[in-house]
Amino acid sequence: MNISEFKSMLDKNNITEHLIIFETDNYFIINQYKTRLCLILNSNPTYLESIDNLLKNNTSDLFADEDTTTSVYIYKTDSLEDIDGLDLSDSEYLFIFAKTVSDTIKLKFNYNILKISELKNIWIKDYIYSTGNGLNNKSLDWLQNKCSNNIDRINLELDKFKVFPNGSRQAMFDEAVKSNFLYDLSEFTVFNFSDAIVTHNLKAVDDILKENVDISPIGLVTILLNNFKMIASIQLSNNPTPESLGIKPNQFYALKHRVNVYRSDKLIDIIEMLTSIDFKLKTGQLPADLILDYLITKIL
Amino acid sequence: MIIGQDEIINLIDKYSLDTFPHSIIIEGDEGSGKHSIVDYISSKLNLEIVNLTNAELTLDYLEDMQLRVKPYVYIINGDELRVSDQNTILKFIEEPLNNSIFIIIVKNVRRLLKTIRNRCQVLKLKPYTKDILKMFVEDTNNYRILDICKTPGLVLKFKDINVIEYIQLAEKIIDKIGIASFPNTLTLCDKIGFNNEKDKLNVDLFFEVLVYIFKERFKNDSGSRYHSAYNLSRFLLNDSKAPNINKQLLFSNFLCKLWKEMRD
Repeated sequence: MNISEFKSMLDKNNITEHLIIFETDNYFIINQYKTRLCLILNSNPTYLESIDNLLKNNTSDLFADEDTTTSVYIYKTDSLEDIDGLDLSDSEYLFIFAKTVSDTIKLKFNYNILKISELKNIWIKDYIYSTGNGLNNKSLDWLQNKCSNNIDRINLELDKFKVFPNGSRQAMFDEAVKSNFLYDLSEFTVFNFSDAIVTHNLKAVDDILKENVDISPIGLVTILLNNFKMIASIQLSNNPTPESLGIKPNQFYALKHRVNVYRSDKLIDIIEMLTSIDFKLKTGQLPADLILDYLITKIL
Repeated sequence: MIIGQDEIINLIDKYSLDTFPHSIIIEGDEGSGKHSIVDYISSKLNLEIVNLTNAELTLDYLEDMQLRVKPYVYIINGDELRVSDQNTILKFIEEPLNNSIFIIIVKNVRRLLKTIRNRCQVLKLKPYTKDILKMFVEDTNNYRILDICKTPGLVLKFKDINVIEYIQLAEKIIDKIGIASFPNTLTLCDKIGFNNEKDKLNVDLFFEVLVYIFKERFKNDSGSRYHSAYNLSRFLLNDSKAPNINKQLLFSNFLCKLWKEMRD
């Protein structure tokens, strides 16, 4: 099948093919399609270690009632060599994501194969313009360039800003750029570091420190303070809702998994500590080169 | 014309250029008229004023000043002097310039090294009475500000604002913070114009009002909570005078501490 036929299925919310083989190695694409397909079919995916598992499980019992519950199976592989004996019922769907597909498969399942071409830069630009709410095009172009058109990386970084209200995102982005955001194209950014601290992920903090990433302490303090204030606004409010806090529902729910990581009194102490750093720094009570150590000691 | 500091003016009038002390400390609260006294001295001695507050005080710079023929009145803000700077100007004070006057203006003379204090004449401005301060208030309906402001400079800053609005917010803080939620408390920052927004309260004036209101509460009820709240407000006002300080973060920090202090 070609991409427009597949797109038509998605647009009509009607998946007519029970077997689709996606020939791609783009992790971002895989996730996007997987999510969309499961949404349309209203079913959580079952991940297969091997296609054989599905074939073995697919035993027909002449006396069993027909199972009409939709089952979605996902199988990921580097190279798809052959599928033998596959027999999917009307309520079963198998989506295979493979980097390469053998000639045998191409012969047997030609119509079911969807080759995903490499994303063109202009498509990536369209995508980030449509999802980068709150950031101006100049910033988005900069991000695309810095991430070398790696859509996974771009999406990961854009996600970090989604916890902030729309009106604050540009300011937070500008602050992140000032803090040497992606300066060294390192795996980790100041946002990863703040995420690790906010979620009390000691291993991630350790990993980032070992990598010796040049993280601006002042930028980190600003981001941490905003993060913790948002968390406190949910954790310490009575019956918080997106409307009562003035934030979008997706931001609210994105923050929910960070709530109650720290006790309420500890949360207040952290915010008090973060708001004191500027004064301590400017009056010489805290040397700038010790801020990172100070933060980690006080918070974790 | 300088009002309310007759003692200091009479003392200055007794001196001529030849007899005037070479090194002086003028001590007084913000807005008490320290710069006005400097202007008076400069006018009386017919000397130009040179402000050294932002100058880089190296020994070379001071030696260069000593070579100047023309006399000046040199002033420096003592509140912003680091100890190293004070040690530098000590040499300067010990070897006075020919016919020049060196004046350090400061809110609290104890901030200066004892060695400097011992080598300077200290002129301490007197507190102003309400009758004198009234002369600076044009609108008689605004006399409430005389309860808050202790110096003419501060009165002049307050005269164009609606002080009732400031007082109401300060009272609301101390009355409600004990029952407000923490996130709600932090939203108080939105009411203050930290970036000089015209539709919000002036941050420096609001901090003055906070101290006044908290002090009044403490006077009427000397329980430990109000005492702690009053102390926190004094520290807030004092710390906000530090150079380049982020007053919004300072105020947020104050709210955190006050919120914890006022819990039942």
